[in-house]
Order: sequence, then structure tokens, then C-alpha cells
Amino acid sequence: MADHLAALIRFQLDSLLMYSAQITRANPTCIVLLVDQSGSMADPFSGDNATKKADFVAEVVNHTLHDLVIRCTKTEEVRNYYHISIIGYGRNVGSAFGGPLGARNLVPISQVADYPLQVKSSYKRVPDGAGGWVEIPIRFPVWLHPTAEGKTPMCEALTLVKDTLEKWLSEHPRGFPPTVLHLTDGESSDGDPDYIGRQIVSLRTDDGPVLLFNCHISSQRKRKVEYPADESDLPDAFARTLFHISSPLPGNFLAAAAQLGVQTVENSRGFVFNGDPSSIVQFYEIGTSLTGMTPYRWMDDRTESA
Amino acid sequence: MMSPLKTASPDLIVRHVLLPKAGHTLAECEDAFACNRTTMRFAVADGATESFDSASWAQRLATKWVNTSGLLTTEEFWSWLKNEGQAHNDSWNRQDLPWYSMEKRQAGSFAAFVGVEIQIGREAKWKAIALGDSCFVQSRNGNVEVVFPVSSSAGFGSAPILAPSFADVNPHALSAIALQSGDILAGDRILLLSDAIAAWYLSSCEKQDHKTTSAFDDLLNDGDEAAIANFLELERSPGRLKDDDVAIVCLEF
Repeated sequence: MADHLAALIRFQLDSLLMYSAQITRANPTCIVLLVDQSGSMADPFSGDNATKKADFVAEVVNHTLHDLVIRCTKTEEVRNYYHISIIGYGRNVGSAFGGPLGARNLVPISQVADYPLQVKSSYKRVPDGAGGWVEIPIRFPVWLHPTAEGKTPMCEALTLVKDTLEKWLSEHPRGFPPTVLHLTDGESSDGDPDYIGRQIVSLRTDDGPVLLFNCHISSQRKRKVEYPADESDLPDAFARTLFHISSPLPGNFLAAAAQLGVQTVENSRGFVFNGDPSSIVQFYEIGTSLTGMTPYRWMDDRTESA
Repeated sequence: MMSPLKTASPDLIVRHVLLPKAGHTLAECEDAFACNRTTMRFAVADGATESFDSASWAQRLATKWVNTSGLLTTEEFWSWLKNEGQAHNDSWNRQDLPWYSMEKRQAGSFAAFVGVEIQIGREAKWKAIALGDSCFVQSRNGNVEVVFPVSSSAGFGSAPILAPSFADVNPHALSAIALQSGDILAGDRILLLSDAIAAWYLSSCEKQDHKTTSAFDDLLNDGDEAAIANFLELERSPGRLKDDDVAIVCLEF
């Protein structure tokens, strides 16, 4: 009994100490954006028939990468606090980076910054401090173009994520564990992802296991379930499978969710089912909050864009 | 890794310490201090790591403030901050910056600031001004008498309102400017501290950890820079002192 109690206390203490490593250039972390690019991603989204799911997801991914680059920018230098992977799956499974980044599965954030496919320009209205507004130029780098072709080879994609992470972890055994943000709109076409998902979350650094968060989106206005702590509200077996391979949200991520007004509880998992556009935005903001950095409120900026 | 400590006139002994984060060089340090014995002004500023060119913004604030007079009212300080911010922002008004630097620059630079002016005379006095979480601490007979603008170790950790280089688009910072004044007796000590060392020092005082505070006080009195660096490194390793840049200005009367 005493041994059991001691083990329980040790587990609780370990849990408190996990996901607390400082992210530095010597101990960077890794962020994997795993994106479903199957044919169904060409379906309309958000009640707006002109916007496809793939369009919206590509836009959010590009804004997320923009945010991560800006966080790492020190004046004229981008420091390599993060190593970034974008893996797409649909007709093909592999790196979704293009241009000079080619087919590389993992890229230091400084190279992500230097090699977008293009940089679009626009203007943003900001308060001028005297009760008026002023327009300032803003830049939208693009790394990911919308793609929607083929089936949903989720297991093959997760296997590539596992292989990529195993290699990265062998070189970076210490520090904040990798985070995998997986977005999909449908069931796997190449088998049950449960086994490979569990393998991914069994990988770890000395600061804790790899974090795998899953966001399932739907064009239909079905009831969405966001960050559940148990399976009771999940509608089917596929939802339960994704729930099982979703990591609990560590404290810093829960705090980021609260900052965004997203309701969570202590054991909430990084999991969304039947998500809508706002779910996607919040999913990436919470999923990249890491050690508690303030989420970059790009949606607010966008609404002020000229 | 530290700047040289100085010993000043018999009336006032001034010491200062600048220590970067573990594994970083002094050139990467985003904390700054400035001392001017002619104006009798002393300042510490702490550039916000996530903001654009925060190190030179912090250094500008500290250096320019000690080398001028006045600026000890909210209105004067705010007006001065706008002008200094304009000069700082203009120094980066280039078209050849990469897209990410241009984006980051648009949000501006941010730093915590605390400055004190000493009036030595028959009745010595101090006036201090602060914006952010760099702290002024006055001790008398070994007891902390005045702490501001953060009053306890629990006050650190949240996102403080800092001195912005774009003051016009951060008007809320105006109301966060803190002013205080007091008298000075022989034997008093004033510390200007950036946030991490301030949080550590106040926490040690609150816990009545006399062993730690006495050791720190003795090291400051000795002025042995290597010993202070070693001591702070030892406090960092178990996490008692957050691994952050450290700036200290110590005035002994």
C-alpha cells in the first residue's frame, strides 16, 4: 500500500515536472503539422461554398508558420528554437514543403523563414493612438498551397511521422518533447491508426512523451466535441480511436486554451471532433502554445486587414 | 561574463552587475544598466525577449534617462518615451530587412525600466520612476523598507505592461508608470534589479532566508564579480533563480 502510494505520488510529481523544459537553440523542440490532403478536402467549408476545406487549412497552416517564425525572430535573425515538419497525405504521403526546402521532412525554423514559396503583401488597419486608424503594410508568406487529391492514407502518414520523430529524438533526447498537430476530415483508408498513434505517443524526451493532438473537421454542421476528457460524448468508433491516440493537454496548453476562451478541464485531451473553422484556428493556436507563449492573434489581425 | 564593478566616491558606493542567461554571451544580454554620477541618476532596463531589438531599446532607455534631467513626472516621462521610441524605430526604417524583421519591427520594442535620481545633501532623498517589472528596493538596517513597482515575489510572472517604442499605439502603458520618493539615511542601500533577480531577492526576503540574502549582500559589498556570477549560477541550477538575464545596480550610502 505504501509502495503504491509512493509510486502514485512520484507519478503525480513527474507529471507536474513534465513539459517544463525551456526551449533554447541548444535544446530546440519539434513541431509536426500533419495535414490531410485527400480528395474530400476539396469540399466546401464554413457555409461558404467558395472556400474549400483545403483552402482554409492551408491558410491557417501558413499563419501558424508565420507566427512561429515571428516568435523566433531576433531583430534580423531567426533563432532555431523549433524544427518544423509539414507532412501531407492524400494522393501522396510526404513532406508538403516546396521550393528550396524540397522534400525535406524536418527543417529548422530559420530556413522555413527564409524559403517560403512566396510572400504576399497587404495592409492592416491599426489604431493611430489619437482615436483614428492608420494602414500599415503586412506580409503573408506562403509555404503550403491547398491540395485535395486521393484517399486518406492516415496510417502511412503517421508511420512517416514516427520515423521522422525517432530520428529527431535520437539527436535531441533532452528538452521540450515534439508536438504533432494532426488535422483530418475523414476516416483512415489504410487501416486503424490506433497502433501507430500509440507508438508515436510512446516516444519521449527526458521532459515527457511526444504530444499528439488530433483535429477532425466536418463540412456538415454536426455537433462538435472539443477537448473532451472522456469518451462519453463521442459519436462513433472512429472518434473514439482518435480520442485514444490524443495526448492530454499539459498545463501550459490548458492555459493557452483558457486565454482563447476555450473550455477545458484538467484531463482534457488535445482532440476535436466535427470541428468547424474556428476549431481549426484554436487547435493550431493551442497546439503551438508550447511553454505558454502568448498565442499570436492572427484572426484579430485578419479582420482588420484592408 | 560580467561587466566590471565600480567603486565611487566615499559618499556613495556604486556597484553594478550584468549577467546573461546561462550559456549566452554578454553581447546577447537584453538587460541594461546606466550610471551617471554627475546627474546622480541610475537606471536598469530589461528588454523583452520576444520583442524587436529589445536589447538596444533597453540600453537606450537606461543611458538616455541617466544622462538627462527631469522626466520624473508621468507626463514628462511619457513624452520623452515617445521621442526616444521614434528615434529607436527610425533607426530600423530600412527597406532591405527580411519579411520577418519587418513584421516584428511593426510591433515595436518593449522593455521594463526603473530609474532613480539621488539628491545628496543635508537631507538626502531619492525619486524613482518605473514602468514594467524591473524593481527599486531600499533597505535600511538589513530590512527591506521600500519595494516598487512590484511589491512581492508573487507579483512576477504575469505579463507586465512595459515601456513601448510605439507609445502611441500602446496608450495603456501611460497609466502603468509608477513614481515614488523617499529619504536616505547613512547606511541605506538601494538596489535596482531586473525581474528575475528581483523575484529571487524578494522571495528570499519573504522566506526570511537570511543565509541566502546575507551571502548575496556580502558578495555585493565585496564587489567580487566572479564570486557573484558563481553564486547566481548556483542559485540558477536548482531553479531558485530563473535563468534570465540579470542587471543589478547597487547604491550604498
